[in-house]
Amino acid sequence: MNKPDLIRLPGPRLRGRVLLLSKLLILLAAVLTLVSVNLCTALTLSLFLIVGQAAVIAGAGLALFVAATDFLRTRGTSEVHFNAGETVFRQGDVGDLVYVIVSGEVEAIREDPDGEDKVLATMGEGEYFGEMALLSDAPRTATVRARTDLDAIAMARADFTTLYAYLPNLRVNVESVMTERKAQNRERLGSKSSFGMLLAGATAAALMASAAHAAGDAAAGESLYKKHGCAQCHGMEGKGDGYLLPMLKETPTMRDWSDPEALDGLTDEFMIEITEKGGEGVGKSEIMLKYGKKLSRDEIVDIVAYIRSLQ
Amino acid sequence: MDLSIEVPLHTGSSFADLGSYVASILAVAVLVLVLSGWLLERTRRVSATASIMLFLGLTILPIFMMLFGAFASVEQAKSVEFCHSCHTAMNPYVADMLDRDSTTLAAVHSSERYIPRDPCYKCHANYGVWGEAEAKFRGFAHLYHWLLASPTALGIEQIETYEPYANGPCLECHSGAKSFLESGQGVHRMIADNLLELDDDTGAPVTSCLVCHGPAHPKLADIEVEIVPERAEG
Ligand code: HEC
Ligand code: HEC
Ligand code: HEC
Ligand code: HEC
Ligand code: HEC
Repeated sequence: MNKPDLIRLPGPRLRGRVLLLSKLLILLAAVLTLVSVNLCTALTLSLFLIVGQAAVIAGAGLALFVAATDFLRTRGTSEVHFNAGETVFRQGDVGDLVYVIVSGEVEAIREDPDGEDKVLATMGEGEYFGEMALLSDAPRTATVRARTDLDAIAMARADFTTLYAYLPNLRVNVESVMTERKAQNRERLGSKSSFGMLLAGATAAALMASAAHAAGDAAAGESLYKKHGCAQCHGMEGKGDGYLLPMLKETPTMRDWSDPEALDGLTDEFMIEITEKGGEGVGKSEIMLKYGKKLSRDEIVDIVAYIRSLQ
Repeated sequence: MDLSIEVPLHTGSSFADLGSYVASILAVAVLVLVLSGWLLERTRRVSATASIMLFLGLTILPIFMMLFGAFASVEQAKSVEFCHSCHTAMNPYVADMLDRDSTTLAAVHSSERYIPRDPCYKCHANYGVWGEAEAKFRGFAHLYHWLLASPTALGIEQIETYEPYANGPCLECHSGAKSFLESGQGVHRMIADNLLELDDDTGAPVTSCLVCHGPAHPKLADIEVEIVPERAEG
């Protein structure tokens, strides 16, 4: 798989240093300006014109650089690097980014002002954190620190929710992993569970794009149905109300598979055939795609069993 | 010698003053915004407000501060106060000009308030850090001498103009006046009409105004006491 083209943004240490430099330069320039316009001597004037102006240009430039990277950070998906020991975010910070670990390890720490800080969990490759961000600008509930050098993908809430809303395929994937994740989280953090955690499962699932499935006819069919995006047209419950339909040039008439009479007269063989060969292959609407290459005969049989079970 | 100074040293235009007020206010605003934004940022409570304060204080305001500051500075660099700031070098000229009993050309112009603002600059208009390129170099040359504390800068040696004084600035003010053109036994009109030859060696008009109206300033050797004018309230 190709590595996605992500912007690599400066980590917090570099950002802090650049911002510090910018602040010092601007403060210097402000003092020089004050002195220069009020004293009117050759020395202060030259200092202002030479040092002060340069400081403003450099300082404002650096501040703009920081602002631009901050903007990119909250607007998109970017790659971030943290050195071992660096804090990714602190308890109480306002956050709107979800992080997925590409390599390295982090620990989540509950900071207790009166007592000992408590390590809640450690997380590694493929795992995610910062999920509360998906809820709202809620403050971070724990401090997360890099245990080792850390490469992560930071995803903005806006990005994630857009993806989530427009890619039912992803949503379905995500939801199938969600239950699993939820149970895990509950175990890890005691009995607490939240919408944020549910959605976080989604991020992880979306990025890892892997969902494990148990065998079983209709049940296996269901996850295949969702994984392969049938729901984009046929809808999440097979009602024929997928989100893609209104976007098509001509809206096809879809059967509502939850209607007991909908599939009357259609044999399993036909249903398997149309899934394999597509609508075109059996003289039906070409909007129904062919899945013969993507799905094995057995998998299609499972899906058909699932479709039948919807009635 | 009567040293009461009637012409305030600070004679910058009100426009320049406005510029320096605005620049000062902006500079204070920048200081307040950056420092308080910095503090707020550290408390980690209101980071959105802190970010806005820092953004304003680090980008937009400093740029305006710089523009107004540069404008004000350039205007102020024309003031007598500014010339006077290189005390040892420029003091004899300032002191003489402000001396009401002096009969030098500069003093006459100043004491009679012929040139109400920035008299040094008006007569040395092509002088100045932000003048034409050539004048700029001269400005830096003066700064350089001053920084190196050369004998001229220390007021030990007579300063000489780098080039013979051209009549340009004088004519700038005078050539339009009918009384000027008609006086001076016809010489004024000839000078104004460029009818007089230039010196082959120096390129200066053979008939510099100073031939009949000099000297502009006293020579260092003629200054017996060092006159240190008090800084007037401006
Ligand atoms: C791009 C939209 C689209 C997608 C994606 C899609 N279908 Fe269809 N499907 C259709 C349309 C349109 C028809 C109706 C064809 C006709 O009757 O002309 C149809 C018909 C069918 C039928 C025949 C029964 C019926 O309702 O007409 C089956 C079975 C079926 N699709 C299964 C699947 C499965 C399984 C998947 C996923 C692997 C899938 N479809 C994905 C558009 C789609
Ligand atoms: C009325 C116009 C006028 C004013 C006002 C004036 N100058 Fe001059 N200045 C001249 C002229 C003309 C010369 C050239 C004298 C010469 O070549 O003999 C000159 C020469 C000089 C010199 C070179 C030294 C010299 O004696 O040749 C200095 C330094 C100088 N001026 C400084 C000043 C300063 C500082 C001020 C303000 C305090 C000032 N001038 C105001 C007309 C003026
Ligand atoms: C940085 C201090 C400084 C300031 C400010 C300053 N001067 Fe001078 N000026 C000097 C020095 C030093 C010299 C002698 C340079 C040399 O010896 O070459 C000089 C020389 C001059 C000369 C003669 C040299 C030439 O350029 O032809 C003039 C005229 C002059 N100054 C006018 C002014 C006027 C008018 C102002 C205010 C607008 C001013 N100066 C402000 C330091 C200064
Ligand atoms: C900023 C304008 C300005 C400049 C530059 C200027 N003058 Fe004048 N000067 C005046 C004014 C105004 C008067 C008074 C009205 C008049 O006599 O024309 C005056 C008056 C004079 C007088 C008559 C003085 C008296 O005794 O009353 C002479 C001579 C003179 N200027 C020569 C010069 C010379 C030479 C220069 C160049 C070195 C010069 N001026 C530069 C504005 C200027
Ligand atoms: C040949 C000598 C001579 C030269 C050169 C000369 N003047 Fe004069 N100027 C005079 C005399 C003499 C008077 C006074 C008698 C008169 O009013 O005719 C005078 C008077 C003046 C006056 C006062 C006139 C008035 O309005 O009452 C001014 C101003 C003046 N000169 C400026 C200048 C300027 C500027 C220059 C250089 C461009 C210059 N002069 C060059 C001889 C000269």
